[in-house]
Amino acid sequence: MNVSTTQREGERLLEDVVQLVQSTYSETLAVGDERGLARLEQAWHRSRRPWSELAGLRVFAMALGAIALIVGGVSVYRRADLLTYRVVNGSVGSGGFVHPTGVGTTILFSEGSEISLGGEARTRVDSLTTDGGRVVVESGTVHARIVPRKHAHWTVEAGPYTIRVTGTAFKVHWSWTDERLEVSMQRGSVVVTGPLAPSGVTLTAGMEMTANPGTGLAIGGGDTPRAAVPGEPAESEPRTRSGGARSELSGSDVAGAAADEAAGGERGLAAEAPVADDGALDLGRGTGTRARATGRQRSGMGQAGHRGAERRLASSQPASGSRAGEGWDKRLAHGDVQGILADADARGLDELLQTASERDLSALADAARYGHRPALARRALFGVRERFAGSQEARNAAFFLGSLADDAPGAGGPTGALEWYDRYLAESRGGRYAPQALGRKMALTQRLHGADAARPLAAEYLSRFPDGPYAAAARKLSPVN
Amino acid sequence: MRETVPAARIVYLPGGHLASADDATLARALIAGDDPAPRAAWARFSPMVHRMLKRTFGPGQDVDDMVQDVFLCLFRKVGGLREPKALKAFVISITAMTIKYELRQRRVRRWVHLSGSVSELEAPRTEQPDAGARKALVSFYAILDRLNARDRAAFVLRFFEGLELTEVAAALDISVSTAKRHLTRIWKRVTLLVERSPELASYLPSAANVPNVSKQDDSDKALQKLQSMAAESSETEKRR
Repeated sequence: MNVSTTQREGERLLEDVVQLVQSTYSETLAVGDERGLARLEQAWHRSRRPWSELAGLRVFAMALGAIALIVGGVSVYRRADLLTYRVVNGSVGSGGFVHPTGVGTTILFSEGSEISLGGEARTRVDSLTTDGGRVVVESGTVHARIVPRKHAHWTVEAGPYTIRVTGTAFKVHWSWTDERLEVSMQRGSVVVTGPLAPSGVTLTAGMEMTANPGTGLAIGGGDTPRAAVPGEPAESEPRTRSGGARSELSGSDVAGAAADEAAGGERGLAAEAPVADDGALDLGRGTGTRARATGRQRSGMGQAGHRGAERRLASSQPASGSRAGEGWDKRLAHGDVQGILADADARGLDELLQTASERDLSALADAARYGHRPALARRALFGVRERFAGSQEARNAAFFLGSLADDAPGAGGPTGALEWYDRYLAESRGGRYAPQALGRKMALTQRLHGADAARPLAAEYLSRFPDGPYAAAARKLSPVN
Repeated sequence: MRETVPAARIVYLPGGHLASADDATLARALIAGDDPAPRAAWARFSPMVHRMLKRTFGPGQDVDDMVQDVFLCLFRKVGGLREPKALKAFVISITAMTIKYELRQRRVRRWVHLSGSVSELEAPRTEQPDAGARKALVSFYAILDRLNARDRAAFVLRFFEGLELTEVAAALDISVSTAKRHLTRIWKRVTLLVERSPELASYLPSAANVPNVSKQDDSDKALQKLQSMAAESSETEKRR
C-alpha cells in the first residue's frame, strides 16, 4: 500500500465521518423551541434595560459588598487591637476591682497610659477599646497619666461625675461620704461633667476643681474654666485668661438670687451682669457674690471698665450675636448662657412666659440656673409647668424646683424641696433624675427629721438604685449597718 | 389504530411581513428595533445556528444557551451592520466567534481541572441510535478536541457546513489566503489523525449500515467535493 493509497483511504474515512456528523446533526432544529424563544425575548428585554439602572444595581451591590468587607475588616481589626492592661503591685478581683497588694499599685495599659492608685482607692477598669477605655473610681484617689494619641478616648468616672480625657496627667479624688470630687490637673486638659457641671467644665494644666453638693463648684489655678462645647476637642477650646483667678460658685451664694426674688425678681432681670476688668465674670448681684475676681483691677472698676470687660466677655463667650437666630436650646448647648439671659432681659420675662416655646423656656430655666439667677430660673420653671403641664419638661421642672428650693431657703427651703422631690417622684417614678431626687429626699429627711425617719427611704433607695449616686449614704443609713 | 406521527417541529411564529421578507429587510427591522424582528430572526436563523453549534461540539452537548448567546449578541451588534444584505454572514460570524469563545473557555476549564475534555464528552443520548456510529462520533470529536479553537471553527464551517472559502474567511475575520492555508493544513492533520484512530478504522467497513448515512454514490460525490475543497486549498498554498 503506497502513500497515496493510504492517504486516499484516510480521506475516505474522514469523508465518512464528516457525512456521519452531517447526517446526525442535520435535522431542522429549534424552530419549534418556544421556550428558547421565550427565554430569548426575556433576555432581550433585560438587555434593553437602561444601562444606568443596571449600573445602579451593580454599584449598589458592589457598595454593599465593600461595606460588608470594611465592617468585617474593622471588626477583626478592633478585636485584634483592643487595649489590654496589667496591674503592678495589685490584683484584679471580682467585678474587675483592682486590689492593692503592696505600695504603689499601678494599672499599666498596653498603649502606655498608667493609673496609680492611692492607698484607699477602689478602682476598676470597666471597659477597654482600641482607643481608650473607661475607668471607674468608686472611692479614693487615683493619679492618671494618659498618653496623648490621635483619637484617644478615655473617661474616668467618679461617682456621678465623668471626666473626659484625651491626653493628660491629673489626679482624681472621689468620696461617696461627702460626695466630694477633687480634680487636680498637671498637664493637658479634661472636661468634667456632672451634677454641678451639667454642661461640662474644661480644666487645663495647673487647675484644680472641687465639687460638692454643700459647697458647690470651686475651680482655681491655671486658666478660668468655661463651658465645654459638645463635640469640640478640649485642647482646641479658646481660653479666657484671668491670671489665676479663682471662681467660687457655692450654694451659699445663691442667697443673693433669693434676695432678687424677694425684691420682685424683675430687678435681677433688668440688671446688667457686671464683669471684672480682667475678664473674670462677677456674677454677684444684690447681696450675693457668686464669683470673686482676684485680679489687680478688681477694685475701682468703673462703668467704662464694665463695658470694656463686657467686650472681653463677649469675645470669650461663644458669639451670642452670631447665634441670635438659633433656638435657646442650641445656644445653651454651645454654652451661650449669658447671651440667652441677655436676650431674655431684652424681651421681658412676662412676654416670654406667655409666648416662648417649651424648649426655649426650659433652656432659659437652665441658663438661669447656670447663670445663678435662681429667681429667673424658678419663674421659667413655673412657666413650663403651667403652660406645658404633663410634658416631660414639666415633670423635670419639679426636680429642678426642688433643687432650687433646697439651695435657697427663701424659696421654700428644705420643706419646699421635699415637696417638689415628692412631686417629681410621683410624676416620674422612673425618670432621669429619680436617683438624685430620692437621694436628696433621703438626705433632707435625715437632716430635718433624723436618721430613723430616713432609713425607710435608704432601704427604698438601695432597692431601686443600688449603684446610684446616693447608694453609699443609703448604706450608712440602712438597718444592716 | 392511531397513526404514529413523528414529533412535529412546525410552530407558528408571528412575525408579520418579516417572516417572508429578505435578509436586508429583516436586518433593517432589527436595527430599527421593531418588536416582531427578533422572532423573525429567530425563526430564520436559529436552525442554522443550532446545527452549527451541534456539529461543532458534538454528542451530548447542550447548545441551547449558546444559541441564546448568539442571538443576544446579534441583537446588540446588529446596529453596526454596514450591509443589511449580509445579515446571514453576520449571524455566521457571530456564531463562529461564539464557538471560538466557548472552546477557549472549555480549554481553560480543562486546564484548571474543572472538566475532563474540551467537548466534555458524555455518552451520546438519542442523536445517533447506532452504537458503532456513536462510538465513531466520540472518537472523531476527541480528534477535533486536539485542534485549537480557530482551526476547529474553520473545519466546521468549511467541511461540515460547506461554506465557501470567502465565507469562512469572513466569518473568522481572516484573509481568504490565510483561510485556505489553514484549511489545507487542518484537512491533512485531521486525515492523519483519523487514519491512526482504531475506533474510526473499525467503523469504516460498517459505515454503509449506519442509518441516515448517504448511499455510496452520494458518498463518492461528497468525497470528491471534499477532496476538491482540500485540493483547492493545497494548490493555492503551492502557488504561494
